[in-house]
Amino acid sequence: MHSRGVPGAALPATAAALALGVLAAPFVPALFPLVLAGASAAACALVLVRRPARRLALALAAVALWLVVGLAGAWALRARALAGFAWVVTVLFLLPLPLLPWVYYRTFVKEDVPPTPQAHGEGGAP
Amino acid sequence: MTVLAVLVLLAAAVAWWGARRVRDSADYFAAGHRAGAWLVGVAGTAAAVSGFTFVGGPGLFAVAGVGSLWIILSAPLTGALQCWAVGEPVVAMVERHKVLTIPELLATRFAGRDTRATAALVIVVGCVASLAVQARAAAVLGEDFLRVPGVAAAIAAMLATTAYTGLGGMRAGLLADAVQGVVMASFAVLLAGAALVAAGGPARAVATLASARPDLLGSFGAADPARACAWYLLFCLGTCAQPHYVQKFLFLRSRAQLRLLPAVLTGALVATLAVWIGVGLAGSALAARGTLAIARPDDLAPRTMSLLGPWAVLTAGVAVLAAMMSTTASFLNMAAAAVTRDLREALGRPALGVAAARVATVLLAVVATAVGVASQRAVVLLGLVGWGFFTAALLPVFTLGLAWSGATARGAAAAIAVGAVADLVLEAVRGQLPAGVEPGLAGAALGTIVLIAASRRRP
Repeated sequence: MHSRGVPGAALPATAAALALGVLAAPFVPALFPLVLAGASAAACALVLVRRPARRLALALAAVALWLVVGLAGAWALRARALAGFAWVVTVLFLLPLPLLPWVYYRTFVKEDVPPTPQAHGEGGAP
Repeated sequence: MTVLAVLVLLAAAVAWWGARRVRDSADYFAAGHRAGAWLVGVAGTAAAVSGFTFVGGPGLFAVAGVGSLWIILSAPLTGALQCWAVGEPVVAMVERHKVLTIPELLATRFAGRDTRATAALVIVVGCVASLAVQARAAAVLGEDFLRVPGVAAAIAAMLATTAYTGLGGMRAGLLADAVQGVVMASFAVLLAGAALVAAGGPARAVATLASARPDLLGSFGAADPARACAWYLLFCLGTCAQPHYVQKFLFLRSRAQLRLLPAVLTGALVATLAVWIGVGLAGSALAARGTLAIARPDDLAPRTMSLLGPWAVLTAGVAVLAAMMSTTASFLNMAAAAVTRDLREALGRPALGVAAARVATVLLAVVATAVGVASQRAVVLLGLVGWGFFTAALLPVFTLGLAWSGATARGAAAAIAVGAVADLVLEAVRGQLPAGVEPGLAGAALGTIVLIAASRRRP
């Protein structure tokens, strides 16, 4: 097992599911916002492999929630000229601008979790 | 011409400064691992932003409206994402192993020469192709903005960049990139503000589009929603796979510098992207009112600048040149490192020193400039190798590969190769692909599946 916070099989299983989702989404357009939110949030959540802290997990859950709400709103308002434009610029762009760097700053820890023995070279949790 | 002369003189000064400070390969390729968050953040943004932001972005807004913004909508997220997914493990490996290049980093992680050789090949191909495109763009935009012969603009920009990158490596390159980043960000905000004032303010510009071009508004503008979502994902996740982005993590002096890095990256990026939104919105509104006449989308930015006055044309020209030079410096340095260190060591030969890297830098610049200036057709083909190519080839190894201990050297090398080839094949038939199929994204998805499958397969 390479980390304390993420089960070993979960990582490749999630990555494979998202990769298949990316390949399928263009043929099921309504699926795209879900794949988009899932892949972006999962990429951020890779940090939990190295430092599985509860506060960080909650912060990443909030990031995922913002993505889902933002994309769902954009999808719902796609035919409304002014409301759609305002939603995209405000909720998906302006609102998170100061918040996401601040979330990173607040959840950052100076020392990383010590590395665990690895089976392959340097290993996955440096 | 005065601008180009000043540019070359400034570059010579930076080259002289950098050459005196480069003592070894660590200085040349990794800025001595001594940089702080501010320098790396501003320089990293400068290297990330190309001339497309100043010209192609506003032009794309004129065609796709809000849909074009999905390329840059992930800007608030990408700074934190890069540090969470890639920056933290990369900086930890640099602190332990003092790696100097991206292929060396991957070889250290996966303990495999094949991984290093494959990554180095991808970087050489991608960097040389991107350099040729940058040279061509410098020629075209030099004519549009600086009113000088295109060949002169391309040669001056490449000569200046090669001078400081070749002599001073990334010690000089990082400093030059940071200065160019400040110039780009401040000029972008200035030009965006001026364009919006000329259009009567943001509210009036939006009102104009709402009545004359409502198709440009809505959540996705005139773009297909699936295509807009694919752009978001490509340019969001793709930031974790661009070698010139990841390279900047090698320069940090300590892990503690990461804390502030997303704030600096996000601030610098959003300031620079203001020109895309501001000039795109204002220029499209002015075109809708008939104030501006544009024959093709890429005319939007130059025509808007001409309307604002000669100062705006000159300012935009300097900003575009700065954007190109900063991107060029990183590509030159990475390609030289791949040729003189990574490919040689992957083949079991000793790495060459700084002198050989300087020669390689000059040769690579000459080849790229010659191809970029001489052949329109070659540039069109090389233009296929860019952001999507690096995303397809390197995203699986930089995200899943760094986090999953089950990933093997064989899996990593196969993922890089399959992702790169898949991207090139799909780019060749892009016109026949359904909306939402982005070659870079599809290549990365295939590479991820290959990484998992090949790593699980027993030897």
